[in-house]
Amino acid sequence: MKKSTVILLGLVFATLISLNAVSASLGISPAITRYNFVPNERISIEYTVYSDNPEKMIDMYAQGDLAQYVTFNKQNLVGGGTFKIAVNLPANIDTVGKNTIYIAAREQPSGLGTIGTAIIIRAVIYLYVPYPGKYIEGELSVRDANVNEQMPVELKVYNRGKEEITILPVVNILNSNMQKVTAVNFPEVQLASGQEQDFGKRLDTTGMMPDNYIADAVITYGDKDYWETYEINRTFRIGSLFVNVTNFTKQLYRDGLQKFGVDVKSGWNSDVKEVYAEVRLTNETGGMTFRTPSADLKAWESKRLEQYIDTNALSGDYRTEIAAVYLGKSTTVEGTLKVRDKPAVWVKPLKITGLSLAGLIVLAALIIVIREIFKLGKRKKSRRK
Amino acid sequence: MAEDNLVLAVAVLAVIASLAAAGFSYYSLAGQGPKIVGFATSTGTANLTVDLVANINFTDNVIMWGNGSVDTGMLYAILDTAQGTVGNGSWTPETSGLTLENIGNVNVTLDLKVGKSAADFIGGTDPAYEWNVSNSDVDSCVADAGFTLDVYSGTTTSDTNICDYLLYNDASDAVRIDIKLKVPYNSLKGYLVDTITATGTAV
Repeated sequence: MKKSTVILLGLVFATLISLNAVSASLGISPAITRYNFVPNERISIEYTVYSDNPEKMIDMYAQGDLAQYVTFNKQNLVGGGTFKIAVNLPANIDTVGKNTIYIAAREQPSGLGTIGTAIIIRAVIYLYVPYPGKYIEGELSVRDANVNEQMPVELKVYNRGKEEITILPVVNILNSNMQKVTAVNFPEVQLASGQEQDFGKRLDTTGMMPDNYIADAVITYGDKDYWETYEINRTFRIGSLFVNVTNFTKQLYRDGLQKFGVDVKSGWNSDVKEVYAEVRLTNETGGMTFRTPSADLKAWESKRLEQYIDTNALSGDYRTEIAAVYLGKSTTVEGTLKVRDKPAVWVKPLKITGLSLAGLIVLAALIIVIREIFKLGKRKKSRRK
Repeated sequence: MAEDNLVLAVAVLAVIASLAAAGFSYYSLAGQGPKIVGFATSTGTANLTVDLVANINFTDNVIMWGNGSVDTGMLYAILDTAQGTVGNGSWTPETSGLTLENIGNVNVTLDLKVGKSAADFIGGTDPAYEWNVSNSDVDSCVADAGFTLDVYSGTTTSDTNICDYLLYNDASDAVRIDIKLKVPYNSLKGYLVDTITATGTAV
């Protein structure tokens, strides 16, 4: 075969391989928009469609319950670009609450290979139709923190009702026993229909015990005549620099190199670098000391630290002292390690369940009854004789 | 004479001390010299709007087994991208499956559908056309309650909700879609093709 032919075949092969793993993307922006329903209002939005193929044919369309109110200035693009839509809202919408309109961009299939692909990407328009009377919704955001930190508490309240209301939010902080530890108070605010209000404060965690907590937002809303409450809660953790030893190997067979494991769990809301365990096994005949390789723990992460030990040098029960060492601190636990000779053949122990025991009793009773009947028969025969 | 020398020495010391004191005073005053002080008399505002973009990308968008047939004497062949194998057939094994990545800045839901049923795509006796969605990046897909990741299940020609959330975090934003075909010996012949459609919806 000529050298040029080999090169040509190589190029063809390389092209086929590259065709086998090409990419295709499709995007749309703005991905999410939110509006309050206003009768007969016209909402205009300009969208941008992103494609990595400048020759790709893309068509656009609307979906959802209110799709019939959407008009497009164009419904096809080549290789991406912008288009505008208008939502011509009617005088009235029966479906109160959140209504969703999808604005979709669809590409033509790739047409390559046995199985090709196509992408449809959809932006959403949330249209909030007010509820009759007073109605609110809220979002509460808290995050894990460490003791002696300032933890942000963020609350957003939406007036989704038709009436203007006054809101008075408070976020109660409860510990794992559901006891109130402290509260974050926010000022009273008036909200017209469709309005929203952001609240934010920092919770000083100084003096709080490391624990799991609940942030319970209670929003009192209404007017001078009628008040209601709306409640949302989120959980969060307050951490301290503490790595707990949650478990460790308690039994090993005497069989050469065996893995000894120490389970550790971080109670700190930040990374803990280079955590390792120092293990001391002792009994009256001796023992051994070893150290596991170190590992980094992410916030609140659990991990198993492991080290191989020679079990041929051990026999019997050992007092186990384990110290998890981290950032200049250590957590110590104690226990027992049993080292046993490996059984030659493992036999499954006979398990007597209630059912099998009842079966045995019934069987024994049957045997007795049959025996008695047999005896009775014998007696009758002997009497006849 | 001795007294004059003494006075001279005291005078020289006094001059030296005076010069030293003058120098010290100079540098002390220099240190307290004019500094830039004052307050802002006008304010500036930096406005920045970050648009929400929903964008998904098939980083690997083709499965190509090429030409082949069921081995003579066999009832069917199995073509599996997860295993990277072709059993009882002469097609070229595909090892990579499809990879879909959320490259936008919002989470999306992910729905999948195929263009043809197994009968329409492959034909013959008891064909099978299955998909297996798994996390390509750890914890990328929060699977819908009605769908199980990491196992093969039959494809559908209407949208199947795969992920309630396909996350956009760079470390957790990609899923792999593997395909398994059961091609019977009496399947349709010729160039068989189909399309998998992925629908990403902003959430």
